[in-house]
Amino acid sequence: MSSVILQVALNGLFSGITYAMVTTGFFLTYRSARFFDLSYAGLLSIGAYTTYTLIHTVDAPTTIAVLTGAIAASTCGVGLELGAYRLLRSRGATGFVRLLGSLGVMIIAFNVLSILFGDAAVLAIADSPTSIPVGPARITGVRLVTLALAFGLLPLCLWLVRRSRWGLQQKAIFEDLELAKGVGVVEQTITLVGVALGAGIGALGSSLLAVEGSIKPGLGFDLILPALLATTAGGFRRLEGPILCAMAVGFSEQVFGWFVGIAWQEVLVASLLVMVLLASRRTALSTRKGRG
Amino acid sequence: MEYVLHIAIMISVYVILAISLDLLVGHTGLLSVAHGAFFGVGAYTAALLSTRGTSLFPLDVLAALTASALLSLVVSVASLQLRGERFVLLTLAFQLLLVKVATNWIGLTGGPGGIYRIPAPSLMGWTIDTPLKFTLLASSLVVLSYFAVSRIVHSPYGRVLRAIREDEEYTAALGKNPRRFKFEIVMVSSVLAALAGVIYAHYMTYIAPNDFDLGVSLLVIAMVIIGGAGSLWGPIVGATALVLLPELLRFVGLAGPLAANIRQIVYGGLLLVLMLLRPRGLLGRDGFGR
Repeated sequence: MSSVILQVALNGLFSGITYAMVTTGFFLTYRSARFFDLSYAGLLSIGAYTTYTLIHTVDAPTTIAVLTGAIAASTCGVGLELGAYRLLRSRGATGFVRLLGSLGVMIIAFNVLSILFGDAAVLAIADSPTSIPVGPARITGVRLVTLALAFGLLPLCLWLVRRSRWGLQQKAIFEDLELAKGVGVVEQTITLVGVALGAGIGALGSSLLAVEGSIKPGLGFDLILPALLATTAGGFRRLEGPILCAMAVGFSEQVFGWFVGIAWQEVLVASLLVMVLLASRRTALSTRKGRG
Repeated sequence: MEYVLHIAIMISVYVILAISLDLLVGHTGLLSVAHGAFFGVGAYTAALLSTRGTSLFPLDVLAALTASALLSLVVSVASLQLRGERFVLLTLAFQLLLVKVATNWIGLTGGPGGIYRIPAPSLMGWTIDTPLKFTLLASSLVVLSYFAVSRIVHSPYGRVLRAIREDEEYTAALGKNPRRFKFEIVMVSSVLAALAGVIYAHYMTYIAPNDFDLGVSLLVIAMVIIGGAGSLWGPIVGATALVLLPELLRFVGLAGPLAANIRQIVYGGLLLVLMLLRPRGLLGRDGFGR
């Protein structure tokens, strides 16, 4: 029994860390773009499939494949920002219009991937991954690397958002765009960097998933839902909130799946999102009221 | 001939979905991604009643509308306190939740396998069991739905909805209660979507959860946006065009699973291009989204 509990806990930790990376990317993207950019889900899938393609077709080393996946997603994010969203902002498009545009991009991304790779789930590495014992439970090498990477990357992101010049300028834009521009903050550059970083960090999470297990075109959407829940509950003013919420969601999902069944895991995230949105306009760890 | 009637029936179903969603999107400014879910609620209610009880069309319709109205309370309550993107998020979560429940609650819905052998409905002793009869029924319901929506849109009630879309606070300052109007219009919209679901379930005789998933909601949104939100004929044109599109793709040699993906890519591309060039859509009247 204790081995099962420990295994569920380890699985929960891995899920939580993956969601935390995706959530961090979404947080950076939202704070830069200032609307719920659903095309982020498409970028996550693009990152994962780039990693899969490199491993599956040219036997690329895992590290290179994962980094390339992140760079591919980041590049696509920059392309979207330069080619579509910047144009929409310059025309005074509301968040509503930009959200619809990003919906179109998400649909295109998923269906292009479906044409190229099919709808069935695919495995980048056919052989079973080597697992390392942790007491009575086991953890794969990829998951250990993911945990190590996240424990280095997430604090770096926290520093970036709270202490770096770029982070402070991004916060200024997010809080009051006109005032920020008035004091010399270059909105376009800050937004571009935010979108690139956000897509890259999020795609690191999805690319590591591609190495660890099977993926399908809609993977990005499966990952963005916990990110939406985490940012809704945690808020967009401090990164700590969404990260902690994402980890809690990942852990809860595994525990819920253990008790009720894996098929009902997604019901948990969707239900929690409905409840969080209905229950409160004030987020868990934000210092000011949410924008509703 | 049966092929043409099939297209006519599907156009009718999606026209009802599109004009009902336009009440929310075009006239009230509430973007809902849960329309597929309400469509499914109507279909499943009709299917369950028909396969486990009697297949009386009025009873199916009444039960479906009631079920949809009750479930729409979640979204209606959300419309009172959430705006903009957060409302969209809630409808997205609600849509996913209902589809997941339908997929996993095997005892009630049949799970991924769905419900099959849905019997033909009967209306005052008249059994509707041929494509021609379904076409007549669906067309009649389209006319009724259009009439109902037209009455709403052209009435003072409709003017208040559009005022809420433009500026909710200003509308409240004029003495109207935007919360009440939003609450009611969400319910009306969901009820009409459920009506389309009843027709769909009886005509197809087989339904499964992925017939009402997020893709369907996005398709209906695309119909409204492309046709032109906020106009009566825009969603009708959008629904007709996007139902006919796969048939046109068939003529250029694109059939099978590739056609479905290309169709989706066309929808997505049209959405993006329209947002860039003409957010009001093809026939939209107002400055939607600006």
